Order: sequence, then C-alpha cells, then structure tokens
Amino acid sequence: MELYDLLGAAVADLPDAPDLVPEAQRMHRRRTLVMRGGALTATALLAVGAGTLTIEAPWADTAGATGAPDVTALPVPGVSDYYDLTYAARFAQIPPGDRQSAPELTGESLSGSALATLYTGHVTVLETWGSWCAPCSVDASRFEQVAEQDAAAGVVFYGIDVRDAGTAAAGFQQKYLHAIPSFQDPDGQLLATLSAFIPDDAVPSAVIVDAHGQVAATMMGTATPAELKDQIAYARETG
Amino acid sequence: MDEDFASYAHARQQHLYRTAYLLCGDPDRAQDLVQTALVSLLRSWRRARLAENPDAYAKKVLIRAFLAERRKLRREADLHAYARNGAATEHDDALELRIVVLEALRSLPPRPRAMVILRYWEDLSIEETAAILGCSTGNVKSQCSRSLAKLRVVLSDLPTELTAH
Repeated sequence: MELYDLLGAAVADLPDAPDLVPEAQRMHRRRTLVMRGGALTATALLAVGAGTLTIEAPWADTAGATGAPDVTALPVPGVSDYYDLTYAARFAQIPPGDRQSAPELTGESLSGSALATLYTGHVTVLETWGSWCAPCSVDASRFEQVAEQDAAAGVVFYGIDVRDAGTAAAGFQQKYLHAIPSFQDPDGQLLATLSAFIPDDAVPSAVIVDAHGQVAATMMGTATPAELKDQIAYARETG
Repeated sequence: MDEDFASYAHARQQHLYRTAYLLCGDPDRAQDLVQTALVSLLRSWRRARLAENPDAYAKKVLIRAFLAERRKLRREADLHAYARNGAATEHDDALELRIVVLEALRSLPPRPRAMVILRYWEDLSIEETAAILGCSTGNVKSQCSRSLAKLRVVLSDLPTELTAH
C-alpha cells in the first residue's frame, strides 16, 4: 500500500474542523492593535525616562562609526513576525513587466510646507518611519547615510512619518533624517495609499520607485545600507 | 486584502487541518495549529502572495508552529495514552486504521515526522521539503529512508506491504 494512500485513508473520515478563518482574522486585528498600543507605551516610557536616565538601545554600540549591525544575523523573534520571513520575502524585487505606478503623494512636510513626490527621471526611495518605532532610528540613520552618498547620483528620498506628531516627530526628523524631507501622515492615510506594495502596518518599510514612476522594489523591516543600495541599484538598472 | 485571504483560507483550511492532525494526532491541537498558522499567514499575506505561493508559506508556518509547540510542550506520552484509550472505547475500522497510522507516525521524532508528512502526504519534492525545514536535501533523503524503514516495521501488521514512490 502506498504511504500516501495510507495517510490519506487515516484522515479520510476525520470530521472537518469548524471554520477557523473568522477567529484568525479577529486574532490578527487584536494583535495589530496590541502592537500599536505597545509601541505607544514604549514611547511614553522613553519620553518619561529621557529626563531622568539614559536608555541605551541594544543596537546603540554596534551602530557606531563602523556602520550598521547586520540585521540578518539577529535572532528570529517568532512565527508571526515579519522578520520570520525569508530574505526574499522581506526584500521584493518586481520585474519591469509586472510593475505598477507608485501613487503620487501630496501633503505637508513636518514643518508645515507643501510637499509632493516627483518620480520621473530618477530613482525615488519612500521610507516609512515613526518616532514611536524603536528600530526606525537605526533604519533612518542608515537611510540618511545612503541618501548623503547617493545624492550626487540623483536618488531622491522621502520619509513618511506615520501616526506621529509633535516634538517627538520633529526631534526624530532633526536627529536622524535632517537631509530627507518627510510627509506628515498622522492617521496613516498616505501609508494606506501604498497598500498594494506594503502592508498598512509595516513600519519601518520602504518602497523603491524607478525612473518611470513605477514601483521596482519593496523592503520590510530594517535594512542595512548595503541592502538598500542593492535595491536602488536594481531599480536603476532595470528602470 | 481580507476577502482575498478569506477565500484562500476557506478553501485550504480543512486540508491544513488534516496535515496538522497527522503531525500532532490530536484534533484540538490540530485546530490550534491551523489557527496559529492562519494568523501568521494573514500577518504576512501580501508578502506571501508576492514572493512565493501562499500554499508553500502556509505549510511552512504550520510546520514551524508545530515544531515550536513541540519544544514547549513535550507531552507526547500523554497523547500516546490518549490515542490508545480512543481505540479501546470505539470499534470502527476507519478509526482503527487512523489510530494505527497515528501511533506509527508518533514513533518518529517531530522533525522526521514532519519530513515524512511533507514528502508523502503533501507530496512535496525533496527540495521543497528541505526548504521548508531549513535543512539539506541529503538530510531529507537519509531521514526519510530511515523513517520509512521504521514505519515498515511498526506497520508490519497491516495486510499489505508499505511502499513509497
């Protein structure tokens, strides 16, 4: 008897499970809310703690002058996290024939002046961040590092400051992203316009747009400068 | 996105449930595993759709949830007893076969068991199985042939001899 048939026969009469999909969807929504709540609490704690003691981020010493820590070497947190995805799943490259146009973003910069995306003629990087998001500071400083190097090569960077406001946002921008203009996105609406490319709760993440205004690559979670440069090079070579 | 996920999940959940049942041998735990896998899959739905096919990803999260749970629980002995009690109270050929097969599967450690189920129930290739479990193809080949030999011994009471393609 074939093992396949034997295994099949063993479960053939197993009664069906109840419909598990609605509960999975409820759990997913609840977890997303808890994660957002957790991030807010962490921000509040940091804001309180800033005046009294210095909180060293675990990556603070490795992100020094020598460059970025290797995020791919970090432990995998759990089955449901983005970091659990394979490298190929976190960094998606879209072949030229399959690309879709990136949405034109218009809004205000953090200082309140009008800001709009311009895509044609150069590679564009859209980066999501929030002052409430701890890994974003590592990510943002690396993006700025690459932005300073690549400015001459014509790559344009925009930040999208998601569900964030006030002095925390301004402080983050000044500290990590002073060379990169950022859109205000207090209710996540700009991020939602990118939902064809990245999930609407993915911070940090990035969308790389080719010189024809079409999305060439996406990145989920923090990335090293080398990884970001790889995606920029891909968009440039194939755009 | 939600509807897209829902239609996929509705179409595949009973199959995932059966795979989970073969893995752990307990209907309640199998439902929990599928639930965990679906939440994981939903969380990464866009990535899973873009980067690889969702079926492969669903299997991967299911197997990982199973192996992670196994590391936490370590209560195989209880389940063994559970299956035996089930056999003693009900007399039904299909149920009998199910229990014999599940006991045979349970004689394999979790990873080799997952390999056998991916190779001979999910019908995955050696390469796909190795990719899901994060090991070499040589490892899959040797472990599977060892597991098959073991299953043949455990299932030697069956009227026909066990073969595998």
